[in-house]
Amino acid sequence: MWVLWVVLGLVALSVIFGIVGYNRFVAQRQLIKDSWANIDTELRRRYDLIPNLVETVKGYASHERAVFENVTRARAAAAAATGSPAEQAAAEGPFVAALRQLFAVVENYPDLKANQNFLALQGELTNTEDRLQTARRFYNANVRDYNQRVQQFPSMFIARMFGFKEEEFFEVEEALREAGAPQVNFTQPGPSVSFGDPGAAPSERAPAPGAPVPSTASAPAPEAPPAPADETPPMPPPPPDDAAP
Amino acid sequence: MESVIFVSVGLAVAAVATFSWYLKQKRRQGLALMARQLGLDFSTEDTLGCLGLPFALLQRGDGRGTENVMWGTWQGTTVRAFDHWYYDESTDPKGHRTKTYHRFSCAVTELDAGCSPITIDRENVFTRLADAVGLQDITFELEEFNRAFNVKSKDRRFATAFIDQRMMRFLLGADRAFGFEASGKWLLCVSARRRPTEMIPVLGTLQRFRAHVPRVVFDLYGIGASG
Repeated sequence: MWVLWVVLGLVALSVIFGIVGYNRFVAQRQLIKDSWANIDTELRRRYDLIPNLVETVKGYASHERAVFENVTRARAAAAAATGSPAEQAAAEGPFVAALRQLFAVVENYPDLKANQNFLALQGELTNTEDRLQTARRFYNANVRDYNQRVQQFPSMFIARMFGFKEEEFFEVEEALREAGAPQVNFTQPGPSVSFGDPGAAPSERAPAPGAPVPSTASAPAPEAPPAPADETPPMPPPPPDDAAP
Repeated sequence: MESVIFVSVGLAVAAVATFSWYLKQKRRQGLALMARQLGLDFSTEDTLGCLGLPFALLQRGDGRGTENVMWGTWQGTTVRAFDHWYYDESTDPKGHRTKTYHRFSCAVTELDAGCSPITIDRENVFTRLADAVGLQDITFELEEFNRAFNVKSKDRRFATAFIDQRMMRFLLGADRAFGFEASGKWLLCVSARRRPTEMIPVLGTLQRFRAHVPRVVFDLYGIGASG
């Protein structure tokens, strides 16, 4: 008789474990969806800032048409991407590269760097980059936990039984990650803007989540952004009235 | 003979009480002197209500107390430092009650943000065991940090924003004696009770902890933040 009770007890425990495990998988998958929505919100916020930024830069460097077109095209392509995290990351790549090119152009226009409108946009863009980074880390943390459960014993049985598959991380290519957020330097006589923070120690800069992290601060210094000075005229043209501070 | 034993025990109790009182007075004097040297105000009583601050540490135990409070501006940061203790009461099979006391040195400061409660402590045997059976704390992308620290918060999104790579590096480099908490607008740095002359590292670590709070925390959780 007691054998029957033991068997019944084991069956009951298995059922409880199954229900709890299944519900937890469902909750985790929902959390991943929600955190992906956060990333999407921040990406949209960044896309929305770009037209104004391009217009402001145009006021000072109207002849850099190729750069503006490149940014606009890449932005449209990235905004149109609504696929998986990997597809979205692939679309983000050219956009971030174009944005980096735009900020490299800005380096050659001191008047533009002092423009209040530009500084405000640039500050907003920096904030958005920070928020995006946080949203991305949160998403990847949720994916990491979920994937861990999909692989771990004994939750792997529930995952296999009900078809819970591993989710994709949202990762950005290394070269683009190094561009980082644009920084304002107020230590110079006039405010200067640079894309990325080449002066900061690698350990001080947060790489995208999921990326291999250096275990010590002795990692090689990040590559400085290319100097486009040779490609642009040394003196900027006077800004039009509507773009003046 | 009995009277000799009675007097001896009485003398021993009186000696212990006197020595305890002497140590307490000496600590008060030492902390008062340290407060003067640091340009802070000092009170032996908890006149600022530090015990009511919303930290998990300050809710622990069957009984608790806060004393020897220093407060003011230290190196440009508004700080409070105080002694905190709590005790756990236990009863053995024979019905004897015992109190186990835990004593800490704490330092707190304010932040222009509304933090969800979060505790950051070093991993110990029990937390490692819990991790091993799947009851994990919040984990981050840096495995070295996960191995060293036990992070608890009901708001994982806040924890992700609060502990970025820069904060992880700072925490990994900080003295192992320190634990950290954030709750509401308050930050706490705590260690096992220290001598009065050892309060400066507590304040210094608190100040660096505050300096490492990521900018995005103020953006997302700051006063008037859009979230």
